[in-house]
Amino acid sequence: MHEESVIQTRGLTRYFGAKAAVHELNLDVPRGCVFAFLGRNGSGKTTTIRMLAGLLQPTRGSGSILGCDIRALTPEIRARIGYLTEEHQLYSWMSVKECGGFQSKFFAKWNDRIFHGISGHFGLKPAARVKDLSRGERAGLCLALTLAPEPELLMLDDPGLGLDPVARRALVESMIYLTRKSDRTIFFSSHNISDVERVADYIAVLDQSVLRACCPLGTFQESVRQVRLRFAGAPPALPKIPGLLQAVRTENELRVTCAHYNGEAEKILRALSPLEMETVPLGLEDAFISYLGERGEKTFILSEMEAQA
Amino acid sequence: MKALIQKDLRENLKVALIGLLIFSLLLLQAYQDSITLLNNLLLGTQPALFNGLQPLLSNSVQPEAAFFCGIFGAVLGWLQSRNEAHRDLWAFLIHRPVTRTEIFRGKAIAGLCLYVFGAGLPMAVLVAVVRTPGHIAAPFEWAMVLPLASIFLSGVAFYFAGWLTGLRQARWYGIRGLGLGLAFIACLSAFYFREFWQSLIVIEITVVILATAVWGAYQSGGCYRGHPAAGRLALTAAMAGGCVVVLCAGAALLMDVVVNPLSGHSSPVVYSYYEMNRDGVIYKVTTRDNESVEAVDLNGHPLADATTGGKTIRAQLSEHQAYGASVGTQLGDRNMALNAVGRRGYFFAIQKVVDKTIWYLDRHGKLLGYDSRTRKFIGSMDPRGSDGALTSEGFIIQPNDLYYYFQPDSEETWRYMATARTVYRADFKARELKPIFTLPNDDEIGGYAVAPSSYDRMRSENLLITTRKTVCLLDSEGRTLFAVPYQHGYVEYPTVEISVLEATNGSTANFGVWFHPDAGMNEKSGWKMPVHVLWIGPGQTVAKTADLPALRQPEQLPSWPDKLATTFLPPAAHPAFGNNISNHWYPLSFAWAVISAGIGWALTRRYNYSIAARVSWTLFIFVLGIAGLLTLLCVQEWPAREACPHCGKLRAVDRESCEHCQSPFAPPEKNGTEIFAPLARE
Repeated sequence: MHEESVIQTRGLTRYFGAKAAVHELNLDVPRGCVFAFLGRNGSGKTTTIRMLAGLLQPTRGSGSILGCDIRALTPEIRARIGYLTEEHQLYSWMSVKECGGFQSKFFAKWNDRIFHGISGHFGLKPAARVKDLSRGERAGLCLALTLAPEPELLMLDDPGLGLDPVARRALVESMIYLTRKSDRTIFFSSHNISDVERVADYIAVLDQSVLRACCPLGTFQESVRQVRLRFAGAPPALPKIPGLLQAVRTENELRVTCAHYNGEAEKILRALSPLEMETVPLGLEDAFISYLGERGEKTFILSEMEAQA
Repeated sequence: MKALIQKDLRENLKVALIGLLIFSLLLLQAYQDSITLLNNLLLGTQPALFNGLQPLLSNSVQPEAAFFCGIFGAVLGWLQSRNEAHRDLWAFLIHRPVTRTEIFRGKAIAGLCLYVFGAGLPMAVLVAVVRTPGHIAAPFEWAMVLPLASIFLSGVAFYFAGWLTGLRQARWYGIRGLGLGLAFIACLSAFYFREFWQSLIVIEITVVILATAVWGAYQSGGCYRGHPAAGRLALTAAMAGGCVVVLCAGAALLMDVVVNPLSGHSSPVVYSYYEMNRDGVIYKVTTRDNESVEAVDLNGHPLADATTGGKTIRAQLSEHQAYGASVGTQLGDRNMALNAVGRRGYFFAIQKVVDKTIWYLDRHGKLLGYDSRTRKFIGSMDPRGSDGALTSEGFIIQPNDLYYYFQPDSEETWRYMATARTVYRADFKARELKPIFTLPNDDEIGGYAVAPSSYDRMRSENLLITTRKTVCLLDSEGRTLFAVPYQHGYVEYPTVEISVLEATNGSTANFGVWFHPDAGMNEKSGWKMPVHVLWIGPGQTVAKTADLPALRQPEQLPSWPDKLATTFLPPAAHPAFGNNISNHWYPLSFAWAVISAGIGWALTRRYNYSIAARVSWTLFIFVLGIAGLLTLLCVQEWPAREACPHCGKLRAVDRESCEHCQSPFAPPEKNGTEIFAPLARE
């Protein structure tokens, strides 16, 4: 067990009917970091966050958040957690001011300056009704309501979902501002890799309900490598390579993406006797897409594709 | 919590306002109806359903109020959960530093305030109006408010049931709404029970069950899993109530609408009784579904027409049938009989309408006058003792007073009234009571009825009285026409009837006196209690007596589809229904319960419930039968099962280890692409 973990899960599992939405998740989120929780749609990110927030009962397994069992979060613990849901739903009949007033009555550490600062940052008028706000404005209001109680742990479920680039940038800036306080932890899910790259210290990647990666951001980027092999003619059949993510075959080229590219994989590839072999640097987004994309070998040889058609 | 209450009040105020408007209009309509009824009564054009003169007791108000309170309560409760049905809004509500119990409490307080506002306020206004003199020309007493109050309170059960419906996480919405069935039971109790406190207990129990189930649903997010024990029990009870109601209603509907009409099963009611003609001859008439099918003499021979010698038809019999009167003798606890018949709806009966004044006999035996023009109480006519002083005695309430109709019968402005020992001629025009007959101190009047005094002018001025000791007939001046001992006792023979005869065809008797046995006692005795008949001749002498064999009371035999329907009832419900359902089919009902319990045992075993849980559920199902099994299926969440890689048997996914071999769940299979590195804070 990580001593500094603010979130910890062991074998956390949730089924919906016969389908496991989250399968045997073991996760430790260190205190004071920005932790990105990534995965494709339906991979179980929201389900995990909802379980962590005590809103959904796990089918089995356990979890704790700020040292408290997620099945029995106390009001004191909830006061230390800020939770932003993905669709930014609020009571539509309330005004911005009423939302702030309503929320402030529950939180002892409510900071009006933060609320007004963030709502001002998003250009929200106090009298505006929630139902009349744009999606970005609503996200801003939700963020203001989440941050104003000055939570120790912030859980954001895809906070940039549906936001335009400007609104998303404003949201990320708010997050960066918040992390200036070193004891704060941000645990967020996102599909926007550039945002992740900008703020995250660590990432965890869920692939089809199973946690496949959990490491510092840099480690992930370094672990996923692409190797380009050029051949005189058609590339030969690909042998079994450990950690193979994708292989793309063209007329005389083979691009192989691997996790944990190491000496063994290199040796196997060199045995194919390519004319040329080079390692291509991958950005986080490319690495992420390769990591979560369709596994196996793909062929992009025009003549073969025409023949198939 | 205050913020939450304010939020919910504001959120649902519109609904409460709409409810307030609708219910106010309904009650206003009831008030208007009572005024219309009053006008019709004064015109004397039609019989008056006199309960309608007091809007609180109006036959239309109570069902309408029950309908409204049920729907309004359920909608209000459902909306309170529906507003936060979106999972993100639910998260916004739940994720705050207060316990879920406080959230539940805050919302419940707000919801109940709105319910009181929408349903209670119009009722309170109606009560205030009707009890203010000058609005309603009918007696008022606070007990009249109780039927409406219990209906209002049953709406609280609907409120929680509606709330539970919105909260429950069941795949099919119909199952979510089963709590409404329990609320329906609460509503039924408001009509069924005689005493307010009886229905109050039922309503309280249902409200506590439903409120606890809602509270539990807040703890678990609407799922059964995660409910606290109390919540789980309450949810089970709520769902069981719903299942029983649905099953009973479903069986009744199926049988009444589908099976019975198709099978053509309907058993006729066959009923025989004795009649006397004006010559004092007794014959037996048999009816089938209220149609006379046979008239025979006491030897069983069909009655022959005296002139033609042919079979006598019903019209001829009726033409020559002796008129009479019948008295149901009630001594001892008169209130018990009153309550048994009148239940909570009986408060007064109209006695006369004279000179725009309506005279009521209230349930305390007081004769009260209300001026229909001013709609105000004008005074009462109270009996006086032999010394002329007012007595505290009330007038006897006759069974006829318990009917809710008043027929403006004649131009007469007087009628007989009786206290326990004195018969009065009440003159409503002169507003005076004149004692015409008084019993000695050791006797007491059991009942009285106006009897025909002659066939010539069809006048009914005589009075048949039964007392503890005698049966006598008085004329309008209180003179005794005959008096005979009350034979065989009023407990065994409570009904006394006279037939007024015409001394013709050689008959010298003037009256026939019948002593009919109590039907319940007669049934218990195996229909062995005969009907005693006396013929009273001139000079008050008993000319003849006869004992007629007892006739069985009609019995509606249930058809086989009806019986079959009763088998779906929970075995535990059979004693409650008593004679209303066929005991012959009880074994089949028992068999259903055994089969259901077996299925329940198998199901709980399949999902590897603990022994205690298995036994509890099996017993529960055995008591409730099919409804119990449905409850198990509705309440429990059935986890997926998958093959254990270790032992190969199917195991439930919600266990930490295989229930068969105890091996833990294996971690997900690795595919070689895993990237894990220590997370160290930089």
